[in-house]
Amino acid sequence: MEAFPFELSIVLWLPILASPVAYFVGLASKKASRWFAILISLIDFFISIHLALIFWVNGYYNTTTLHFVDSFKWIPSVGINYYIGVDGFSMIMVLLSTILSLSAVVASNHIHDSEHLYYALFLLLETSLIGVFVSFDLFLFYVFWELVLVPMYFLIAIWGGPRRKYAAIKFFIYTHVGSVIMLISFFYVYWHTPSVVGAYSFNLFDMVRTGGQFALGLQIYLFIALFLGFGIKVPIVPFHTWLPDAHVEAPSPISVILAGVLLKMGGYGILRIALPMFPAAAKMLAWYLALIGVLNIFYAGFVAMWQLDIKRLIAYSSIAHMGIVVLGSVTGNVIGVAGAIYMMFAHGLINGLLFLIAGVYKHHVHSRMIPDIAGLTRKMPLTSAFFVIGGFAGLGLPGLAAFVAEFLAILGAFYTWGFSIAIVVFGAVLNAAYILWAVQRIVFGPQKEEADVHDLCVPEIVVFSFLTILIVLLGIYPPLLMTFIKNPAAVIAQYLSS
Amino acid sequence: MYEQYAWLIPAIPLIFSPIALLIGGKLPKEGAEIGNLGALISFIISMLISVDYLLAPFKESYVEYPWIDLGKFKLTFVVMVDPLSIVMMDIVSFITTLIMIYSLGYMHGEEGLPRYFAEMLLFAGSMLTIVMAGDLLLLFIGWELVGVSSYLLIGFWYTRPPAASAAKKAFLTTRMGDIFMLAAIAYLYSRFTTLNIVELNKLAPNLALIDPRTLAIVGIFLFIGAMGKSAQFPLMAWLWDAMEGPTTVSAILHSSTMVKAGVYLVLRLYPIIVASPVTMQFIAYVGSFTAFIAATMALVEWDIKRILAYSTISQIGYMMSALGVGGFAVGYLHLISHAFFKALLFLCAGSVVHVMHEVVHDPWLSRDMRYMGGLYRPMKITAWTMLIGGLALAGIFPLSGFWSKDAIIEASFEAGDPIVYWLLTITALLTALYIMRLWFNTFWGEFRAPKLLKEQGAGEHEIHLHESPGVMTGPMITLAILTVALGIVIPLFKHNFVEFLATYLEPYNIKLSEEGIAQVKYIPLIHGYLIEQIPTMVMSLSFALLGIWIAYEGYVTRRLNTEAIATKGLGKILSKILEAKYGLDALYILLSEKFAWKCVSRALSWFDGNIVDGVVNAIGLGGIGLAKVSDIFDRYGIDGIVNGIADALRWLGGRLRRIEVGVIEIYALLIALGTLFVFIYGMYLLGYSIIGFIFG
Repeated sequence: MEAFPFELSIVLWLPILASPVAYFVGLASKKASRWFAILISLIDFFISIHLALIFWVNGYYNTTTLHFVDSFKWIPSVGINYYIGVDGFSMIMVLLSTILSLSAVVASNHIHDSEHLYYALFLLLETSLIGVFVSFDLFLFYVFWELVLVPMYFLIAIWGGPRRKYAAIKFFIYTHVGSVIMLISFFYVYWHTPSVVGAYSFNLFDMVRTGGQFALGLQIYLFIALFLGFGIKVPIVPFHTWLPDAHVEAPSPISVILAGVLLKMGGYGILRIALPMFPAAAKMLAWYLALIGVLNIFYAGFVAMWQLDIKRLIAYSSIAHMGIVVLGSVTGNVIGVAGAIYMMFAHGLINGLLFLIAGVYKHHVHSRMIPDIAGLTRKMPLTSAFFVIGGFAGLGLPGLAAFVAEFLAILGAFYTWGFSIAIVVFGAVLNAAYILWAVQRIVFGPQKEEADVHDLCVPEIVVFSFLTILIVLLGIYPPLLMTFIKNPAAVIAQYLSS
Repeated sequence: MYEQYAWLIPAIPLIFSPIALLIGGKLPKEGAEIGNLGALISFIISMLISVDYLLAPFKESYVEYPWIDLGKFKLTFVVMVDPLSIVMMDIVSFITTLIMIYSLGYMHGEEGLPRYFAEMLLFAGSMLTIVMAGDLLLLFIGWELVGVSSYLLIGFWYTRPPAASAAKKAFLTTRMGDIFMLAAIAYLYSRFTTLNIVELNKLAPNLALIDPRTLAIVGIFLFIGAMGKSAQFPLMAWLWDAMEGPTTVSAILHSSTMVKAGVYLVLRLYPIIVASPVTMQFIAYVGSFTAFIAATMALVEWDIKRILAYSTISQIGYMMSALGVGGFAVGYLHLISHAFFKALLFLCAGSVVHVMHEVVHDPWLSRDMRYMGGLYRPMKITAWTMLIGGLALAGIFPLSGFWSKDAIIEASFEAGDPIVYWLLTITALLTALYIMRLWFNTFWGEFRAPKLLKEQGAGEHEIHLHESPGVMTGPMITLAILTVALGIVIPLFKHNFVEFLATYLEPYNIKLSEEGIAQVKYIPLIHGYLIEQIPTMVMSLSFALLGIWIAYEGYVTRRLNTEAIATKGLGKILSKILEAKYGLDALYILLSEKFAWKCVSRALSWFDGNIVDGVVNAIGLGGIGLAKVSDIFDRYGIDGIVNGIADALRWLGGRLRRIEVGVIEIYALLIALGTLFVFIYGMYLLGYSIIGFIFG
């Protein structure tokens, strides 16, 4: 089995090319715009599945090199190239992007204002997200990284909740500041590439080789800059306050993309760029970074417990889960790194599902406040069932995806630090506490028999079942994903352990 | 020959569970068919394997299923059939089957039956996963699934707030134990890069020589996991609230599932535990202390199901102390006999509650013994079977409880620890007292409900008491017969049982004495399986009889005024403490609600919203302020020519601002088009290079 020529580029560019079409089609018929966007996301999803199948069948997972590479000179005079490809890690991140884009676009059935623009922006967003994960030229990477902000800004600012403008501005400026700090490191390394690889180059591998040559003291500064840039996206405490606002104000399908894919850009950046580029610094700081991860878990867990807005609660649970990603990433052994990557994927699916459920409550009950949406289990049995499943997935129940990730990350952390890191396990109780507390208040308790609400509509049932099946599959049979992760994780872990 | 199908024993209930949920509603009995079938198939397979083993003992069957492979790090599922799991899987699947049959009658007409049977299957399947697990990963998975299925079952009547909070309490308290176990597992893995129980049991005890402290920490952490699931002090407050679920759930939870998981874990990892004297002592003290205080709490309780819950805690305390003093076979034996008589007691209590509910129409009052009394006449089967269960619990000769419990007391005596021994002996008295108090109050005297209901102003209505239906009494009679039969079987086959278990410990160089006691160099040599020591036997038996006599005097002849004791002087203080359950409920509330939620969570939320976000907003406002300052500077600091340009720009800015504020959509479109333009330009450059690439 072989890939078609430029197949990866097609996955990347198809949505953005379709974006103006969706806009102009939507001017004629609103429905057509929606169906067109669904069609494009579906095609993109199938092409990415096709690529993953080829990856699997041809045994590319045994290698550590890039596959499906498309490489052209772009601005050769300064060493900028169009250089895209995937390894196992990027492959699953592309899959995550297409899966969640498809889910989100199908679940956008409650968007009724300016649909043409909404779907056009959405498709633009999809391309930029995929671009981040396939670019191995850091200039190209940065272009996509920044491009994500633009459609996201408008999607929040136009279709968001009451405080949408504040949230959108905050999101844009905050993450943009992070990007700029990150860029400083990029440029510093870039200026030194000729001394190592012979010419100016934005190629990731060239820059990684260059960064590795730096003295430890320099590496530490540059690493902290990179880590800040990526960490704001993750987000790490205390740079996280943009996230609850953005998630709460964004329309639910966009929250799915935010939590499911956008946060993963941070984790991806840390694993793909920050750790390999400055391994000595990373190794030295690993323990403190692990503590940051633990801080994320506890801080966000406690704050989540107090929230009355269900979307805010899920947003803080995202931050807590990202703590596991940070912790696993810096363990320096394959089991921890694999756990971190697995968590990125699992969390995307689980919190995607949870945000969509929050959207259902918002749309059907016109509130996201826990007291308002309590006691509707009889009226909305399916919603409640999916909420319980999503909640249990979130608290790391075995048989569901996040358990694998959590377990591996904790094993990895113990492998490196032993009982010193033992406090992290208390996060599991905290995690269970805020989720069960929410479930108890929402699903259990006296029922509001007179409430006039209806249960899920068809597109929602389809999307929720799709995500649930994936969550269960990945919980029961991790090799589905682990096969892709194994080698990249080993490579990343090697940077810290050697 | 059947042992390679052992994985089916947990897998069948786990697979049937979602099926019952999805299609149960369409079946005539609403999923009961699938529930019963799943439990029955599991039971049949485990019987086949056991018979197979008895006919031609195989060493141990041991099947591996790779799960995660990360090169050097591998995680594998191991399904293991060995003497330990054979006994346990039979008990669990047998009692599950009985309770599924009982559920046909007990749960008849309830709302949400498919859910009930799906959750029961999940519960049984996850417990069987723990039983069959040959590696700690699979065991931990079963462990967590037991937690979540008990959560769902305790909260089965989800519209009742107490059920919801009891379910959450159970999950959180047991998870508090689980995380310690997780830490121990993670540590063991990091040290030996395997989670295979057989290998760990061989490797980990070697730490005793080089790193005894770590070994003790690992052992104690593992035991804390067991404490959570087995409701040992102080992680026991969830168990009495767990009564909010249907009685069938309590029956399965208390007899063979969940609370036994902790004991089973200690049995499973016994070589690791036994290697550390500190751990052993910890287990013995926690166990005997728990046995004692749980029994005292049962003395003042009026809720028939809660008394049984305290008794479970207390009996598990016995098992744990047995394991702590080296009584490997003894502890396991008590687990077995307790599984039968406790299931029996719960089914009897369920039968009583079922009947009482038709009288008082209230889930709380139907469990209150103050409303009962005189139920012997209408419910003879329930009364007699419950008496058998009660006497077995009290340890009266010759029922099953006598053999197993007195053996434990004897083991503790031989271990030479007076604290453990006396706690357990006094508890024997208390046990007999509270269980006979329960029986007399329920079945003896006059029926008190009509009078009490009248006093409360409830309307007169006809009271018709009757025995429960056959699907309910059938399992009760079966279990009563088994309880009696075990009393005969145990003394006859005790040596075979010890030998049977000895084959499990053999590979780890732990010898079991004739009496079933582990002979390890770390603990004093202990006897105690056989009732050789007549004095200890007489002692505990007479203590039990004394307890029964006190109950008789207090609740039948009423020569002993129990009310007066409980309302005067020291008795009053004691009963207040007991009714407050030693403040354990308050402690849970203090830690979860008051401390974690109202204090830490609230403070951090405030901190997050005001300080962390406040800084961000302040920086944002600072930025705007700076912009304003430069705007002023721009306006007044620059001379006329520039002013003109500035005016023009401001005019343009105003126009643009209007667009921005008015029609944000247009603004978005402009930016989007702009972005597109940049991309088209980028593509142009790219295309240029592609063309260059193709045409050279």
